[in-house]
Amino acid sequence: MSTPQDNNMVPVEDAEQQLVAYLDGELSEDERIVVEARLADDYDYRLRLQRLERAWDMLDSLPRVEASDQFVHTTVEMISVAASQELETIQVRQKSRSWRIAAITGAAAVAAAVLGFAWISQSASRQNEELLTELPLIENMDRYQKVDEVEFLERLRSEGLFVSEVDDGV
Amino acid sequence: MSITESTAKRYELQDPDVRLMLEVRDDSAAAFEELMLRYQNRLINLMHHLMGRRDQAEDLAQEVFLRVYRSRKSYKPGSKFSTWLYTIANNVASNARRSMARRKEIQVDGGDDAGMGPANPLDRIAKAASGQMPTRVIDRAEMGEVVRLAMETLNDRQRMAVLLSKFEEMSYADIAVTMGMSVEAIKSLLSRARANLKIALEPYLEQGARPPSE
Repeated sequence: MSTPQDNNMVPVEDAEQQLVAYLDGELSEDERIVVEARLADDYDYRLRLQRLERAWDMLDSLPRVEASDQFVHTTVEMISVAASQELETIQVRQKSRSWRIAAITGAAAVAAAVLGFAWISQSASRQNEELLTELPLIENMDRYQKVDEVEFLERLRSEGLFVSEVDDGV
Repeated sequence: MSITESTAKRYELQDPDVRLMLEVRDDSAAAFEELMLRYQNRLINLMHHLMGRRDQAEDLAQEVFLRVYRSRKSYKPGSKFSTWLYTIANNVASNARRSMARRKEIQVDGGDDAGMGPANPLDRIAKAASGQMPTRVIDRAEMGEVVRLAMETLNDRQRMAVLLSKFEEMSYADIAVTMGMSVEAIKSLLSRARANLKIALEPYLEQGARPPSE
C-alpha cells in the first residue's frame, strides 16, 4: 500500500480533491500531468480513482421524474394570477399618480391666483401713487397747456407764483 | 455586482436561453413557455433529489418559475441562463428547507419521513439492501433507493453541488456562482461529497454491483 510519504506527494485530502477535480476535468494542464503520473505509478491511487468514478456513475440510477401533465397548466395559472396582481398594482399606482397630478395642478392654480392678485394689487397701488404725485400737475393741466414755453413757467416759479401748489403737492 | 454591457452582450450572443429570457423581459409569453418546457424536468428532478419529495419538487419548481417571471423586468445577463436559474432554485430550496426545519421544530417528535426506518441513512442503505446477499446484483429500482439514501448522507450544500455537477454538468465556476461560494470552496465541497458517496456506496463498489444499464 502506498502512502503519501514523499514530499512531492500531496496530503491525502488534497490527493482526493485532485482526483475528483481530475475526474471533473477541472485541473490545469500541469496538475493533470502530475495526477496522471501518480496514477501510472500508484495502484492504490488508481483504485481510489476507480471507486470515486464508480460511485459517481451509480448516481445515474437515481430515479428520474417528469413533470406531471398539469404542471405547465398550473404554472401558467400561477403566472397569470401574478400578472393580474402586477397589473392591479400598476393601476393603483397610476390612479394615485393621477390624484397626485390633480392635487399639484390645483395647488399650482391657487398659487397662481394668489400671486396674480398680489401683483395686480401692487401694480394698482403703484398707479395710484403716481397719480397722487402728479396731482398738482393734473389739477393745473389746463393752465399749463395755455403756456407755450417751459422757460416762462420756470420764471413764474422762481418768482414764487406756485408756492401754494408745491406745498399742497408735497 | 453590476453587470457591464459587454458581459451582457457576450452572454446574449453565446446562450440561446439568455436570448429567450430577454424576450421574456419584453413580455413574450411564448418565450417563457419555451424556457419552462426546456427546464421543467431538470428543475423538478433537482428539487426532488434535494428535498426528497415529488409533490414538493413540483411546487418548488413552480416557485422558481414564478420568481423568474417576477424578476424578468430587472433581468440583465451576467451569467449563463442556467446558472441564473439554478441560483434562484438554490435560494428557493434553502427557504423551503428553513421553513421545513421550523415546522419540524414545532412537531413534538420531529419523526423521519413517513416512517422510513432508521434515522441514519447509512443504516437505511443497509436496510434497503434487505439483508440480501451482498454479492447479489441488485436491480435498478433497489439501486436507485440505495443511491437515494447515499445522497441523504450528504449535507444540503454537498447534495446541491453534486446534483449540479452530475446532472447539469456545470463547471466548478458556474456552481460557485450558483451557490455563492468560491471555486476553491466548491472543489473542496465536491471532493468531500464524492468521498462521502464512495463510503456510503462502498459495499456495492466492492462487489462491483453496478446498476444495470438503461
